[in-house]
Amino acid sequence: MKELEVQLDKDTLYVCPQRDLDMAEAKTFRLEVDGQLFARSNIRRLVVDLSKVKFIDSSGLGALLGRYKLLQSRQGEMVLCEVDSRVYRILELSGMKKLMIIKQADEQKEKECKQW
Amino acid sequence: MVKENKVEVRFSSIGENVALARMVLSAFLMPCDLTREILDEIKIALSEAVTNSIIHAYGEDANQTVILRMCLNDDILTLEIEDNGVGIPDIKKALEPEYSTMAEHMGLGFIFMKTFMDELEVVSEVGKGTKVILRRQLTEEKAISEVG
Repeated sequence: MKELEVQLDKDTLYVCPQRDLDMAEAKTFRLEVDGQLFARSNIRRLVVDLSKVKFIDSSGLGALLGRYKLLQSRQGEMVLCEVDSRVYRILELSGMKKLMIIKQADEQKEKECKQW
Repeated sequence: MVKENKVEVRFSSIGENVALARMVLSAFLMPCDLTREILDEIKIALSEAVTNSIIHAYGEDANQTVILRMCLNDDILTLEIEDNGVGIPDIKKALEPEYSTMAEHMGLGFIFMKTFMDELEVVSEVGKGTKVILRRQLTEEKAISEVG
């Protein structure tokens, strides 16, 4: 199975989870992103491409929130892009929408996500 | 629509099986022709219950078994998620918002189960295990969502 895609561009880390964000994928996401963040203290932006995520539960939300806090602790920001409407609904319901910059799948005028 | 159906599945307590449980549920509910939103909500509730069994009840011990029972009776869906794990010492406290014994877990598990299902029942005994029973009426809401 394909693990999540990661790319680094200057101070921005682009990550693309390859499947729905439940406890299994959340763990992969957390380990990979934390590894990159701890190895490179210059990372100030985390862009998460959620185009392949059609489902998220509290494990996935927890993984996103945990990374958001890490970015915040280094005065950075976190962007969620290509967010599916069903996932967006859950982000809204959990209050995460207020914390992060969220771009839905249909508002891609300002292309944020890396081309994989 | 299928009037009555029962399925029981037993699986290893590994993270990958949370997705498997959701797939089995989707297949089980296929004849009900639910909207994507309703199906998503039920899938989240199940995902939370199975995750709790794997992480909290079994401490991610892959050699344990989680049992999922799905029952459709007329338009009432009942899901039972059972484990033989550590059990919950204080169910009332566990059901409180943002209660979490682990960092990174938002304490949203039971909140999502309560929010997305009509009924949530938790039966647990320390050292014996936990059974979570989730119920939701399907047809009335389906009618509402179709009108809306």
